[in-house]
Amino acid sequence: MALFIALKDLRVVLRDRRAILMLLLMPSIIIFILGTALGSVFNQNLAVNKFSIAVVNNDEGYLSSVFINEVLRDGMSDTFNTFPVDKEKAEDMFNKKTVPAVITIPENFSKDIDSNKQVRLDIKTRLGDKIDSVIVKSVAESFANNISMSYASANAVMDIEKQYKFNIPANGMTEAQMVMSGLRQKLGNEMLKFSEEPQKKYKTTTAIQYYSAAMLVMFILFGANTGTRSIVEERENKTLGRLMSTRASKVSLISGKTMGIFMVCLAQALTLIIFTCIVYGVNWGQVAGTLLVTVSAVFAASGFGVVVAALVKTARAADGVGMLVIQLSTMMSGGMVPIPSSMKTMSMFTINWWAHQAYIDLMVGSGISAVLPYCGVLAAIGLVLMSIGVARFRT
Amino acid sequence: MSYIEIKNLSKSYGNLKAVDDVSFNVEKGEVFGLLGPNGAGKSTLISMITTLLKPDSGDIIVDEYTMNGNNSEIRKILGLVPQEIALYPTLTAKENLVFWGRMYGLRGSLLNERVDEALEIAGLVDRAKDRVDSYSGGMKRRINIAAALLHKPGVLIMDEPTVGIDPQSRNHILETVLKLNMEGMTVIYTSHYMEEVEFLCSRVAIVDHGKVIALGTKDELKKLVGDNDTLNIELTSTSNKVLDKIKGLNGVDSVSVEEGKLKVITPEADMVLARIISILDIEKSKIHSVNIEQSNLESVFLHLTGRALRD
Repeated sequence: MALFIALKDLRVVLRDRRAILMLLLMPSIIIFILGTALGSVFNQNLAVNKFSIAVVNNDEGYLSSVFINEVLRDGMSDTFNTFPVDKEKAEDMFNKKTVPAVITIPENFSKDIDSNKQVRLDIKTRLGDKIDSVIVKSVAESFANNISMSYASANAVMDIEKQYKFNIPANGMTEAQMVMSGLRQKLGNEMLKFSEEPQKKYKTTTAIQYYSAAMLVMFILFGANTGTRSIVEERENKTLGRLMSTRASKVSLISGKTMGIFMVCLAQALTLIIFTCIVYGVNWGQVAGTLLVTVSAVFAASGFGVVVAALVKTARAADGVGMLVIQLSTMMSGGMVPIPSSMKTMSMFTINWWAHQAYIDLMVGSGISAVLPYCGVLAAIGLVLMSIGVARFRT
Repeated sequence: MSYIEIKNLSKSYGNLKAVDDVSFNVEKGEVFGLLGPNGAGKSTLISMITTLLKPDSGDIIVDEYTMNGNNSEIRKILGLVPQEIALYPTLTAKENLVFWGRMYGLRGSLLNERVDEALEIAGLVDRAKDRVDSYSGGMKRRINIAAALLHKPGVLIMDEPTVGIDPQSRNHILETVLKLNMEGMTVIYTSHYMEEVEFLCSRVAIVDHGKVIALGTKDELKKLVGDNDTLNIELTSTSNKVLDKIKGLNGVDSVSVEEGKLKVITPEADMVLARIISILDIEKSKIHSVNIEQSNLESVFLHLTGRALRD
């Protein structure tokens, strides 16, 4: 029953030219206008300012000092300042928001690399400091991966050397370190430049990208509001009463209506993503991540739609309340113009903020694991709103 | 045991008693009428019978299923034709019927078969693929009824199904109801149109201010008025003085004014008419037309409440 109700709603929306214009054409135009008109304002706001990070070094080896001094302090000096501190100080700096990220180098880091063991750097970041966090993660993870790989290669060279019995001078360094040193001299530190080029792309997202994400979230909510209207209109047009006189239960009715909102919003979101990708060249990042964020945002928006439908009495009220809440939350979340950091806590109370941050994270190169916390929060918001809506729903 | 039993049903909205201790039975295969003016409580009563509204007190039993215990079973038996056009205007008639059929649990070839039958009953086979918002009021009403017939309900409950439609569609609907009843369907028909109830129903409950004020066959109800006739006199003008004089005449049961016409109920129409004409002559009030009606449900309502049905 629920599926038939949902499919009927989808068909009704597809027949409504005004709704189609509102849900598809409007966001495409607004993205273009905002992206073009506010591009300069946007770039000033979103360019990465130099920040600081804390590094806790639990390793006493050679490679951790190469990482701290040559990669972080020298290589990334334009982007952030690096403070080697102890664990307690690092915690304190992170909690006081002095630094957006803490890198912890584990014990035996150098030794493990030298013996071809898998190593990883522990990176602690904060949700919301998205661009800073992504840069730090990128630098640290790339270093760990590349240095491991390089050492593995060096060790392989050594094996070959031993096999063919070449003579290596003994000067206190391990054989692998000697080979690496030689390679570095030969390659002019090329292997350590790996982290500087890719990070440049993280410094900014374009205005069109930013507004594509913001407007997508806003119009997902508008899509949900169209669903709200459809529920309220069922009540006004007495089709709701007729439905309740059939074999459809209240549960199947609400599930069907929610599913309807979900399908409408998802279809709209995917259409907009594909459209902005093709027409405006927006890079939404990893496809699986984008899909997960979209589904989570649509779920949260469906909850919003159901709760508004339960609280208002008329379609006009649904439009009024929906529009007001959506526009306010878009503004609060920085969807119209980027917001100052002082407003961040307030903006976290909106669906827009969580979905928008997740999209931006994906756009700047994060993987699916980075957006899982956002998706979790969106799913939780959706569940809470839906529960309220179901409890308050009147047939 | 009757097919439908309504026992001491009450429903209030704040201080307003919309339905006040109503009881009646409906037998299987009959067309039962609920007659009363707008706001009498008929729709509230229908909403409770169709499980849409929970009564404050009282019981509803449909085909031995008691409400609140077996609502889903009751819904399988009922087909509701709401007062409003409860359809999706941007969908076609066929799409609407398919949707409502699914809501009644129909699937596959049975659904298609029933949709075709319903379109046939509505007389709209040729317009099946047109959107409902392109239909006339009468056509919408016919599809509104057809949607309630898809699952072949035991009881068809029709709440003012002919409001605001043309005479041709009205006749089509009334004939459809009679045909369905002849095929064995029980019908509860609510209306404030006395002529429709009188034409269709074998038994009638007259409802006013949430109460059943009279219940019985048409003949039983008319006997409440006696052998009275109704004199409908259209005048150029009326005054309280004229009304008082007519009320004071011997043989006049009751007098009311409806749509500019005097309605006089009397057992001696000929004699009373002569006296009324002489009063009007004295009071210089001109007569446009005079018509004598035998007693009907309208006069029963007037007799019981002192008001016309459409007051």
